[in-house]
Amino acid sequence: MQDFQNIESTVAELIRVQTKIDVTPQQYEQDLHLDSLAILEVTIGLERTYGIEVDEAELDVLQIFRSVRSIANFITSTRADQSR
Amino acid sequence: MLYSMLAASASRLPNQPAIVSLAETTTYRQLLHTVDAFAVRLEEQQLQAGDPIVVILPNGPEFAVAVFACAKLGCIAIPLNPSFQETELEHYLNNSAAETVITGATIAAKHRHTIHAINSRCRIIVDPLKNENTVGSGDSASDHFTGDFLFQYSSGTTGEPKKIVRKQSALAQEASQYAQTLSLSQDDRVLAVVPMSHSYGFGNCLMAAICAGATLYTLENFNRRRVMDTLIEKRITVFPGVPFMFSVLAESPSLGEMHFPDLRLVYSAGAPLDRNTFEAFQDKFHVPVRQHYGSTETGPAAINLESTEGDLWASVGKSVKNVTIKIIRHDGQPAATGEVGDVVIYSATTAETQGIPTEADQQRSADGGFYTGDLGRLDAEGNLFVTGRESLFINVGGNKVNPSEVESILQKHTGVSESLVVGTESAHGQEFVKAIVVCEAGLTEDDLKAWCKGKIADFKIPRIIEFRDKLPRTALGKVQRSAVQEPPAG
Repeated sequence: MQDFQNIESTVAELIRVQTKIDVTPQQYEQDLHLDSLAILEVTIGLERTYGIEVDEAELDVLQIFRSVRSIANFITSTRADQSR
Repeated sequence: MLYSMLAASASRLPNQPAIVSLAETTTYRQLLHTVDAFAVRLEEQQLQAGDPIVVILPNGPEFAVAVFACAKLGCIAIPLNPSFQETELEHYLNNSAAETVITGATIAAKHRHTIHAINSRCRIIVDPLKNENTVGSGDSASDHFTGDFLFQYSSGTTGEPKKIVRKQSALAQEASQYAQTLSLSQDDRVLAVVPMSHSYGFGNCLMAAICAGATLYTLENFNRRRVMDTLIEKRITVFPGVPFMFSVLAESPSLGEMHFPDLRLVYSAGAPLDRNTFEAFQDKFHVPVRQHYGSTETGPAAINLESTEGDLWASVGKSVKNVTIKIIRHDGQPAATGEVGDVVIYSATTAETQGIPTEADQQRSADGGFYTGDLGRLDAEGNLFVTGRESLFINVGGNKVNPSEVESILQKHTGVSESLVVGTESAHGQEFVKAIVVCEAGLTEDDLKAWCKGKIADFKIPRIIEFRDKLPRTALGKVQRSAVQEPPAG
């Protein structure tokens, strides 16, 4: 299993590929200001990379997709839940 | 006219569900009664024929009630996107001279202060479904109203959004023509997930469905699982969308392959559909996404209801009933079959535009046709292929963004000296907003995004802000937009 730092850098790369937004490690806690279209683009990337299911109707997406760190936290907890 | 159209469906199909939202099912009889009751409420506020009323409501029965009550009283409805913020509200309230806003409790709570700061006399009428007076007159006085009924705003190709003025008679005729073209009937279940505040959702979903006595299933926003659940559980037969929606549904790994046996018509408008999305959607869901073509000024103009084999997947099809499409060369002569030229729509229901027309607009309107600003060609069978658009506007998931509107918001920040806003493409081929900014040292991307927040709709806020020492300019000093635009992906 990837450690948390690796998850963050994978998420940052995924955001760059999906949305073209560059995020440096110093910006992992910063607000990404993603709109609903960008959130869906990142969601598809997360589902593809991590094999998780994201149900945006049931989640506080604005909070989860706020920063690289909050997305990495979400992946960690979702993978733990979905592997049970 | 529009009220009579609703009343006719209610008389023919009183118990048929007219609108089904996540919260409630409203039959045609209930819809008509609620429209009557709400019309009484509007009259109690001294509203009368010709009064402009801004409607800020999401897809749902409340939107339909507000619009049909305006139609009944002969008021002018101005539907606005519920994601609009301070700057947009100010522009549209001032431009339409509306002193009444119909909205929901949440939007009222959020924007009450802003609306009253724009116009202290503005009345805010909340929740058209909750009327103390539950009985209203069922007369169809609206048949006599020949005045303006609807203001919509079209991006056009450049400059400020144009105010498009529609009459009830034209909208009723368009709804009937379109319902006949699609063979819409009371057996149809239409999914309305594109915003009804926009001309596409207003005409193709709300008006066409009500005219045909079909059932409209409304979703307030695009949510993948809700769309899929609605398609399956409600056995949707007609699904109008925009390319971004079809791309997301086709590419989402968490949505598996599926068959929709009831879904007879899926179609896309608002932006060109790309081949990858067409093929991926068909492979996964076994139904072709057909293309539809129209404009705020003319309503629906063409749809491909025939083959999508070979190159025809890319065609927007043949013109709808009572509409003619011609391709005109730049010398004003009709183009030959297959030759690219201006796409011109001839329709008896074409709207008037208001505002100051440009010289080009005046020349272009002279022959009675509506020049769309698009380039295209017709094949020998009369199928239209749209090949390009002469527009600076950025198409974000079907929403048109005027770069100069975003530039003016950025430039109101005291630290910004110059800005240039362009469209660029993401990995999925979707356009988004990018800004190039010249500013004082220390200002960050985060600062400028936060500055835009609450002033303009989220989809207009630049996704990427690039800082430069100066804007690229030509030798004559003109800003060079093309120098900062990336070539389209693929």
